[in-house]
Amino acid sequence: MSNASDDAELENLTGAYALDAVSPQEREAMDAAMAASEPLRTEVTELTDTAVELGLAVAPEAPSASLRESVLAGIENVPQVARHDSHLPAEADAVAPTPSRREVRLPAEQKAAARWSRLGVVLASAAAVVALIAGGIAVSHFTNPLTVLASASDSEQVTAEIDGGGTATILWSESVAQSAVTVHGVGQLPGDFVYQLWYIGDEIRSAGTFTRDSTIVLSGALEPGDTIGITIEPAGGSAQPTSDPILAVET
Amino acid sequence: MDARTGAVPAMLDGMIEWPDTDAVATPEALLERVARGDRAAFAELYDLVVARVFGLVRRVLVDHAQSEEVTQEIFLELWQSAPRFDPNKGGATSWILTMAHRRAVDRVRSSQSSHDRDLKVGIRDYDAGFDHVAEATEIKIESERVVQAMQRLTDLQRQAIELAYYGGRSHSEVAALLHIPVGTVKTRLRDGLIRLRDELGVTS
Repeated sequence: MSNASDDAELENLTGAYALDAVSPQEREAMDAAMAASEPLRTEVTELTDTAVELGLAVAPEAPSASLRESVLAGIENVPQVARHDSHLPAEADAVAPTPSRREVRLPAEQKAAARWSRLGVVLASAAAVVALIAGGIAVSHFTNPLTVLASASDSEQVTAEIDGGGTATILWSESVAQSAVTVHGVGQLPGDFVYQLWYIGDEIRSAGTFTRDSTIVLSGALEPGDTIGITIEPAGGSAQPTSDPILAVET
Repeated sequence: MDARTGAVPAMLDGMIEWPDTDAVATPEALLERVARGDRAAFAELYDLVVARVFGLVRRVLVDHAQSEEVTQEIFLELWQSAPRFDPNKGGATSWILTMAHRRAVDRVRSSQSSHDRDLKVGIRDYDAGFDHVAEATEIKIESERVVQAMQRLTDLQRQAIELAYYGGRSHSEVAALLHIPVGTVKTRLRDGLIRLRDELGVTS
């Protein structure tokens, strides 16, 4: 693919790349070239670290005190990414400063991937959602459904008790037409049962199953006026609910 | 026997003191905790580095409100991507500032803010009576070490690097501002940074 003149062209671009002075296309080309070339990677890493020295030479300046509150409230909505997760926001790749960091698959990252699927994500408090919006943050680049949801201007949230114990925090947005549920403190079900989520409107649509405390983005589309419900169903889930809901929240 | 019993407590001592040294929270240690979802560590990390991040973003974007917006984005991303930080590949502050600069530049490139920024920079430079290039060259660099190293560069190298890094300009914009070909700018940026790297003793 690459020929000598392309390589020379890219090699000449390492400084501009390290200073963030390249076009997006050039950045991509450079990332690809670095993945294949150890010397190129080394040079870019060193020049990037040199650019950081320029950054450290700038006088520190404190932002307004309210920013701290917005930032801390803002992360309540935001799950952490892991390299091997399909939920990975595309944007996150652009975050890693150098490809050498990006391409190496570390045990810690694998652990993080496992953690993300295991842990579940704490959803926002309503205040946090408001803070995120009030902060005027640009959210269009988020591709994680949870982040999109939490950042939508019309997102709403309710925490409700689950019959039989536990709580469910439900976050939804009509403009995004999606919802997510974080359940906490639900009991362990016998192996042949699952919790099943439902969108209940003109008809009742299954929106996925779960078996323990977790955060689930409901499958299917939320329609205006839907009630979100949870029932206990035989393993594998049911086409329609076969038991009384242990939770029902109107959106 | 006495010598041995003397040695054992010393070893234990060493082990027991480990958590105490943790009490001096380095950005690396904090980032590692943040990567495990530790929100308290995130707050601590924020306090530790926010002035650096905001200072840099403000230098590039000029506008105060926009700089705060972008700073918030940066910390959001920092939270999201903390699991990717690899302490073996460099320091946490370095990682964070690299991320911050890229974000700030992304904002400069978005057309609306670029317009707003040009207006602000224009007003600032008009007030100060600077020409276009002065936008970057009047920047006050705090670190004597970096000032010294910058003085070893040629004027063109220095101007190009300042316009690119502190001005958030792309190589083609730098080329237009300095009236030199883009290829020359690329070379100047690379040669200049390599010189800086050597002056500052940066190694990977």
